Amino acid sequence: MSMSGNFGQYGFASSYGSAAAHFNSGNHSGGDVASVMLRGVDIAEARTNQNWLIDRQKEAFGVQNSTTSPWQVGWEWASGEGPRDRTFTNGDTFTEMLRQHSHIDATRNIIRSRIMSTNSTSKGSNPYILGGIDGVGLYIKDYSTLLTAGKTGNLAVTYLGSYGLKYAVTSIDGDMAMVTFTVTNSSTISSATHPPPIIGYTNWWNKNIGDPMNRSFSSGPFSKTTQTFIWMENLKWK
Amino acid sequence: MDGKFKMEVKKILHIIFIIISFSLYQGCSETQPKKNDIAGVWLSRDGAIIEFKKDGTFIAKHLPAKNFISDDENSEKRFDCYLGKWAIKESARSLDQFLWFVELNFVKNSVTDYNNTVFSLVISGSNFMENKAPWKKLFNWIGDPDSGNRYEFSRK
Repeated sequence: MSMSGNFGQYGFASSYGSAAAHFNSGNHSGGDVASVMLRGVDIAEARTNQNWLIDRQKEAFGVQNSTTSPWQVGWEWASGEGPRDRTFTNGDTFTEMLRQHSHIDATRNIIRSRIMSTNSTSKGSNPYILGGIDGVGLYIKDYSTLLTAGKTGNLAVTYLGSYGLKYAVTSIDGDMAMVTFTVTNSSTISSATHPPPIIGYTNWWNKNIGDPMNRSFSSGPFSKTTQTFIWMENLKWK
Repeated sequence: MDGKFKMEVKKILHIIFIIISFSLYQGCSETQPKKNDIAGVWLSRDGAIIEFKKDGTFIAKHLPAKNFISDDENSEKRFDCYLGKWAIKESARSLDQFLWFVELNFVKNSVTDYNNTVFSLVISGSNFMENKAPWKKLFNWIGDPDSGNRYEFSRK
């Protein structure tokens, strides 16, 4: 599911736009002595803006996401109860788990090498895909969390499976860069029942198995829910 | 367990075995797409156009921002790329299903905020696992790949 559709449903697009405007306007208080200057916007200011963004998210969605766990989101999907769309950000339990995933780390490295080669702000995309035969190994790694009580794998990704990922490097100063990550995930009966991922991401599977299954669970238990994660990071790129 | 149930389970396992064996076979011996396989004009159903030139540059028209760039205030708009660079790359994890992709570097665009955006389109083959020539489609996932939704380009 595209994020714009998700946000549009809750009138969130405008809130996010306002957040961006707020971020650029200088309409905030800051002043952390230890902050690092990033093109005139220091980290303390960024944090203030970030908190403002979180507040707008809470207003828009009317739900508290800070302590929501993957288990709870999974229960909401399976039971048909609770919000069908959730947005998470910095500091939320679910976000912080996701930020530790190896694929996010790999994306950070992509961003670092990109800044090294261009020395400019940029945007990009790096979705996480469990497709193909190699996907089986990733599948086992991600789902091992359930067998080892969290000692291996990543609980956030155990729930999410594949996910869409976009990033934007918004400013660079010295060896630091400010990066906004956006992860999108949809939970559907189709995504939950991907077979060993060997064939689950083929066009054939989607047309003949996935879409028909989703149509038969269009509301109530196992109907579609979406999760969006938006967080900012100061990335040391040198 | 009665005999009938055992037979049913056996049948299902047999089908799963065949599907996996077939997929493993399909997953073998991929060949890298060549520049000539990609060079040319590719169209999407909703009117977006990308022209890949043999010198490694491309131009594009009417690209839907929301399917290429981070979502922002311009996400409902379309944009043109006046100058871009492209290259065929191998997936970092060597995924056998989506092994190759075209990396697009949008150098100069109608929306200047999109300059220097890097994006990739998966190269999709014509067999069941979509990993063998002839290369028929270029696509990117719309949001979560689990959704199966693709934004596709076909060769003109």
